[in-house]
Amino acid sequence: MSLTIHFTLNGSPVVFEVEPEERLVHTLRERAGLTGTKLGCGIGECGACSVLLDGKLVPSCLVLSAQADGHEVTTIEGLSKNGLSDLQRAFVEEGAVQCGYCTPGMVMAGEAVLRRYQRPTTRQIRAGIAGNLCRCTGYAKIVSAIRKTARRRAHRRSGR
Amino acid sequence: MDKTPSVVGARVKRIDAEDKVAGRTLYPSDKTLPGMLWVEVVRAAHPHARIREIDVKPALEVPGVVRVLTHRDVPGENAFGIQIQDMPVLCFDRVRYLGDAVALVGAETRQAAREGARRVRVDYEVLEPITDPEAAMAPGAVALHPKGNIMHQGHFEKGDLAAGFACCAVIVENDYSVPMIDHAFLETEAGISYYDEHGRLTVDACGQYIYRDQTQIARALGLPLHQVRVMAPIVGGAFGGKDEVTVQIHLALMTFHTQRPCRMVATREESIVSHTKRHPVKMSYKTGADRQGNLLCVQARFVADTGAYASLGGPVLNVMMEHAAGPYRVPNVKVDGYAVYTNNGFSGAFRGFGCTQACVGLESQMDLMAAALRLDPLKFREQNVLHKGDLAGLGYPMTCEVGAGRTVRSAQRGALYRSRRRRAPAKPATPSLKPYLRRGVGVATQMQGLGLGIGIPDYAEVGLDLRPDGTLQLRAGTNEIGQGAYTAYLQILSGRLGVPLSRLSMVGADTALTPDSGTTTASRTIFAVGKAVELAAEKLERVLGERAERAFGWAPGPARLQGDQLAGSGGRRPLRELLGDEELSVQAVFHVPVAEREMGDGLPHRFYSFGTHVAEVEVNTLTGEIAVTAVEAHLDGGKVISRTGFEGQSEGGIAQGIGYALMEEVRLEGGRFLTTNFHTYVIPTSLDVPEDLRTVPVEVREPEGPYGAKGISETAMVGVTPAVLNAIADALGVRFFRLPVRAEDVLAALQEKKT
Amino acid sequence: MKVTVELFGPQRERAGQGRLVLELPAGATVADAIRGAGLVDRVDLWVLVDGRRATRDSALADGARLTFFSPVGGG
Repeated sequence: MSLTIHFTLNGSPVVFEVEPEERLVHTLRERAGLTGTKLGCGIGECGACSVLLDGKLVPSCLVLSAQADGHEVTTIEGLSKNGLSDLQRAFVEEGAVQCGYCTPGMVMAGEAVLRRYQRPTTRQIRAGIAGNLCRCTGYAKIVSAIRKTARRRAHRRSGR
Repeated sequence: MDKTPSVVGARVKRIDAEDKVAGRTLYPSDKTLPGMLWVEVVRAAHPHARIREIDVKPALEVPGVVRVLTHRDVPGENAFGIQIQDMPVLCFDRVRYLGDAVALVGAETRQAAREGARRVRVDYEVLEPITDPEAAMAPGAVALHPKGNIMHQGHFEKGDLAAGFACCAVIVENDYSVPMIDHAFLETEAGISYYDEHGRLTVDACGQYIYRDQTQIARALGLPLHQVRVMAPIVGGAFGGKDEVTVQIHLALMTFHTQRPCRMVATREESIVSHTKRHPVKMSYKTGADRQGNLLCVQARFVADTGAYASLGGPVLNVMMEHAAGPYRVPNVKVDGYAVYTNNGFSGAFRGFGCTQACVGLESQMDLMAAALRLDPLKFREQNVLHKGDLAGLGYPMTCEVGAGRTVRSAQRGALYRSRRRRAPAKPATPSLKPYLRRGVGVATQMQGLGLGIGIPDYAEVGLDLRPDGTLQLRAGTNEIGQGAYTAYLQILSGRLGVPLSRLSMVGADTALTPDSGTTTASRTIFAVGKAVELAAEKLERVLGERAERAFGWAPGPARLQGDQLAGSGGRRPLRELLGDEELSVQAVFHVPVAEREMGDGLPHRFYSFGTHVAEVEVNTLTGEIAVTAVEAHLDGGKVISRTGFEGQSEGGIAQGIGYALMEEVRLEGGRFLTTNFHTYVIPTSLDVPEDLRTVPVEVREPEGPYGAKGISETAMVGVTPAVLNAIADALGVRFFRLPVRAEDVLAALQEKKT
Repeated sequence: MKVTVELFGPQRERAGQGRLVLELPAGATVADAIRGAGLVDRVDLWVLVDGRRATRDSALADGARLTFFSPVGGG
C-alpha cells in the first residue's frame, strides 16, 4: 500500500507516492533526488538530515513523509535557489566547511537560529546547533559564520 | 627561487566549499545509476563461530532479489587487508567479529536486499569469544589465526635501564588504559560500481588510497589492474577509518557477477560494527629523572587489542613504540609492544596512528615526574625536548628540523599557561556553584611521524596540464576527505607559478585520470603531494623554456606564465603560438626521503611535526562534570600553506581530543557492540567544545617540504587528550589513568580521596 | 643491459634479498625483470621504474632503477 502526499518543496508544489512508514529523508533523497539533505544516523542524533518543516528545524529521518502532507519543506537546495544565501556565503568565508557532510544540516540549523533570534548570543548559537554533529571542524568556524550572518542581517535591518 | 606570494599562508576560500555548502556536491552515498542494484551484506551473527553451512535459497525467493553471493563466488583471493591479507572478502569457515561479511545480497530495491539478507540462513557452531588480549596471548589460548594470536610484537632497547633507574631521583610507575573509539565520520561507508565506457570494472566509493584499493579489488576478483578503475575524489570524513577497504570489493564483486551497476550505503549501526577502530591499549609506563630534572629512563609496555584482523595494526603498534618516549632525549629506553588478535571488532588506522595512545601515558608521566621534582611542567619538558641531531627514543638521530622546544616556549608565553595558578574559574555559568568549581590548566607536548616511514617507498606523483589559454589543471590521486588538501595544492601551485587561483583547477582521485600520489593518510599530503606540485611547477617552466628556445629562439632558461602569455628572455609571446590547440602536460614525482638506517618494521620516520597543547578545564565537584573551557594549540607544522586549513585541522583535532578524554568509548560485551549509534556512542557537540580555541603556528620550516611545510592533521589532535587529563589532575589533585573520564569517575575519585 | 632492483617488504622476503642486479636482453620489459628476479608475478607486486609507477609492458633502458614492493603501508 502506498500513500499519495502533496507538499510544498522549496517553494514548489510536489506530489509523491510514498510508503506509509517512509521517512522524509528518503523521499527527499531517493524520490526527489535532493541529495543535499544527508543521512548520518537515521535516529535523529546527528542532524545531517535537518530540514525546515513549516520553518521549524526537524531531523528529516524522524519525520514520516506522510507528516509532510500539506506542509512546507525547505531543504538546503531551497536556501540557495537564487545563489548562495548570506549564511552559506559566511560558511565559505569563515572556513566552516571541511568534509562538508554535516554542512547542509548545519546551515539549516544555523538558519533556524537566525530566524528565532535577531541577535543570537554565542550560547544561543551553540545550543541551536547542538543537535548537529560535526567531526571535522570543532564547531568554532561554524559558530563564527552564524554570528557573522546575524550581524550582517541586523545591519541590513537597521539600514532599512 | 624564493618567491613569497600572498596566496601561500593566506586565508583563501576552499575550492570545494561553495558546492558543499549549497548541497550540490555528490558524495559516495549520494550517487545512483540507472538500473542499479542495492547491495546488502549479511554479517556474522556471532563474534566467534564456525560456519557449518550457508543456505542462500530463502533469500533468492524474495521478490526483487537478483543475486546472492558467498565465498564460492570470489574468483580471486578471498582475502584482503592492507598489510596482511587475513580478512576474508566473504567468510567461508569461520567468523571472527560481528562485522564479518558472510554473504552479499543484490536486489532491485534496498528493502528487497535487506529482506534477502535477513533470510540467508547461516548455520553456525558458536565458539567462545576471545575478548581479553592478555588471555589471548597466553600459551594454550585458542588461536584466531594460523600463526597464533600475537599478530605483531616489537622490542626495542637503548642504553642501560637498570643503571639509569639507579641514578634517578624520582621514578614514576603507572598503568594506563585507553578505550576503543570510533572515527564517527559523518558519512558512512558508501559507493557505487559499474562498468565504464572502456569496460573497466569501476568503483566510485569512499576510500583513502585509490591505487591500493584498486590492487585489493583486483586481487580478490582475479583481474589485472588495468581492468579495475577506482575513484574517490570527495569523501565525507575518514580520519583513518576508510583507509582499509570497506565497501569497495563487495561492490565490485556484485557488479562483476551481475554486470549491473550497484550501490551500497552502510547504516550507522553497520558502520560502527564493521570498520576499523582506534586500538584499545593497556599501557605500563615506568619513567625516571634525576634531581636536576633530566629524563633518564622510559620503560613502556603496550598491549594493543587489534581485534579480529590485522589491517594496519602492525604499523600502528610500531608507531606507538616509536613514539613511546615522545619528543624527548632519553638515554635509557625499553619498549615492548604487542598487537593481539581477539574477537573485539577490529582496529587499525585512526588519526595519530598509535602515537595517540602512547602520548596519553607518557604525558601523564611527564606531569607526575615534574610534580615530584617540584618543577614547572613546561620547564621540565623544555629541558628534555629533542633538538636536531639528538638521538630519539629508539636511538636514531633526528635529522629533520625539530620544533618541539619552540612549541614549548610558545606555550609558555601563551596567556593560558601564564594564568595557570588561578584556581577560581573566570566566569562560571552558574555563580551559585562557584564554591564547587575547580579550575585547572594542563599541558602536553608531542611529536608525530609524517608519512609511511622507511619500510616501503613513500612517493607522490602528480600531473599538470597547461591549456593554450593559460589555465591549468592539476591531477593528484589523493582524496579530499575534508582536510582541504586540494585547495592547499592549488595554493602551492599558484605560489610557484605566479598564476592566480582562479585560473587553476583540480582533478582528484581517479585511477583513470590521476597519477599515484600515495595515501591520504599519515599527515603526508601537504608535505609529499605538495612537494610534487612544486616540482611539477618547476618542471613546467623548464619545459616551456626549452620549447620557447626551440620555437622562438629564446635564450635557455625557464619561461613564466603570465595570463595567456609566456614570458622569458625573448620577451612575451602568446602561449597559443607555442602550444597551438594542444595541452602541455608534465608529471612530477617526489620521493619522501627516509632515515639512514631501518630499525625494522618500517621504523623510524625521518620527518615529524611537533606540538604543545595547553588545556583549561573547569570541574564541578558537586556533579563531577568536566568542562573544557579553553585550549591553546602551539603547532609546528613547518610553514603554514593554508591558514584556514591549519586552524580547521587544529580546531577539529581539539574536539576529537576532548572526545577521547571525556566521552568516547566503543563498549563491547563478549564481542558484541553495546554502542552502535550516536545515542550511545557520544561524540562532542558544539556545547562540549570551548569557545576559546587558539591556534598558534610555530613555523619551523622544513627545507624538504613545499615552502618548508609539513603536515599537521594528527599533531593537531594527539596532544589534546593528555593536556585535558593533566588539567583535570591540576584542578582536583586527583589523576585518572583510564579513559574516558566521565562525571561518575570524578565523583567516585573524589569520594575515594575523602575516605 | 643491466638494471638494478631494490626490494621492500613481502617482495624482499620472497626474493630473499633487498637489492639485485639483473642482466636482461635489450628490449626487456618490467615483466621480464620480475621473471629475472625469480619472483612469481602477482597483482600486488608494484613496480617503480626510475621512481615512477610502471606497467608490466613498460620497456626498460640500460641502467634503469627498479623498485619492487607491495602497498602494505598506511598511516
